[in-house]
Amino acid sequence: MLFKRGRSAREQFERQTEAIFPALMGVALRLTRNQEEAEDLTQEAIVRGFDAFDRFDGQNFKAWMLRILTNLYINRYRRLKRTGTNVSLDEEKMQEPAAPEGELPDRAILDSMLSADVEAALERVPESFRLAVILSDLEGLSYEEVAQALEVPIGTVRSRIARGRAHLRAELESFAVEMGYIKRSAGE
Amino acid sequence: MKDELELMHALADGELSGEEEREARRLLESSPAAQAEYEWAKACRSAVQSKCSRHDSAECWEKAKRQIADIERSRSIESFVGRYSWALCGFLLCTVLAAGLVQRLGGRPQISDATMAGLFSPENLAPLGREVAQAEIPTLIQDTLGRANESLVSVPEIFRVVGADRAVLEGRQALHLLIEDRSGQFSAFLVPGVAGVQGFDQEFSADYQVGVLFDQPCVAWSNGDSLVMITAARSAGELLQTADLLRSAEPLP
Repeated sequence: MLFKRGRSAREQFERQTEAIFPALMGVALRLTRNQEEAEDLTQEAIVRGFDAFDRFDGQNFKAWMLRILTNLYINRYRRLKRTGTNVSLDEEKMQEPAAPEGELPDRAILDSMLSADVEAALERVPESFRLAVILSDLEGLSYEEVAQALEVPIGTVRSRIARGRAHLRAELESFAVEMGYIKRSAGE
Repeated sequence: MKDELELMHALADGELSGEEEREARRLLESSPAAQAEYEWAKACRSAVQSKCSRHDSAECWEKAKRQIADIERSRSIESFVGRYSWALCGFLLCTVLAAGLVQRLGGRPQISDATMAGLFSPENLAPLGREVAQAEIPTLIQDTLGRANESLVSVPEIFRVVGADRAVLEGRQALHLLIEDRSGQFSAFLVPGVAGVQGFDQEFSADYQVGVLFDQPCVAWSNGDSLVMITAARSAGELLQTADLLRSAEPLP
């Protein structure tokens, strides 16, 4: 279904965007790690979305808007990369997290961790994996929706989520060891 | 192994179905590593959901809404202009054409005082190169204005033409006569197809327009479809008397 322009289209766009606005802001914030940049990114994505609303197929607005937002971010990132900012989104170059040698941070440990700890650990997960984990675990998108939002095959989504969680586990684990929630293995 | 781990995550997320799900469940029952991964996937999902805060910014949303409103407003203006631009252009063109037509048909053609001032320049005047006999004046006037019944040459005892030049003014033939009367000499310019001078005082009287060119008073009046303008180094009042005398003279037979 394609929407006609006009007052009703604007109202429809606003209504749908308002419903997913926290998700857009959340993803933008976790991508940029900066409140001001996140607001800019979200606003620009909304403006782009409104511009292209007559081309929206009417199926999954949230995935569609998240795709716009992530594409915008990636394009910005590419610009930054050209100007020399040292960030990498290249999955092939990313190191796999070290295999857990000690205890896994179990549910009890996870539960005892503060939100800020989990947020901080998530922030250290490489970008493309982090994005897949956020969209799936935090925003509740299905793999198919994540694939739509990131414009990648569903197999890539599956891989990114598994690898993203592995990275997160490694980060949480080292934090848990630091805090004494779990013991280091004898070999360490 | 890597695929098996991915399978456990997909199973924990409820993303498997059919044969793939059955295979994942078999693996889950048989492999402790797979089981650990499955548990981690569930714990991770749950931790991210419960520990990571959701962000909202009412101010940011309001800003975005204002931007949307601005975009829509500019779009509707663009759309209106785009849709009706031909009509606006057509209307403007018709207005210009109509104004031109009214000016041509009903209006009194005027000439600017700056153009009239050009007549004072020797470059625009072509002296006839000889002394003009009084008897030739009607012919000169006829050549210039297309008719010979000019009153100003009908009273040779008062006015005597002492010189004449031809001029071309915006494509029009004009005639300059240097006339002598009891007060001295004055210039008379005769321009066909013009009724008045823009920049001269139109409200001075019903009959005359008065202006100043090169610090010299000028009096102009419409004579049929021609313009007569006289100018001399004398006061405007004297020039008006001269003009009255010229106009009251009887036409040539």
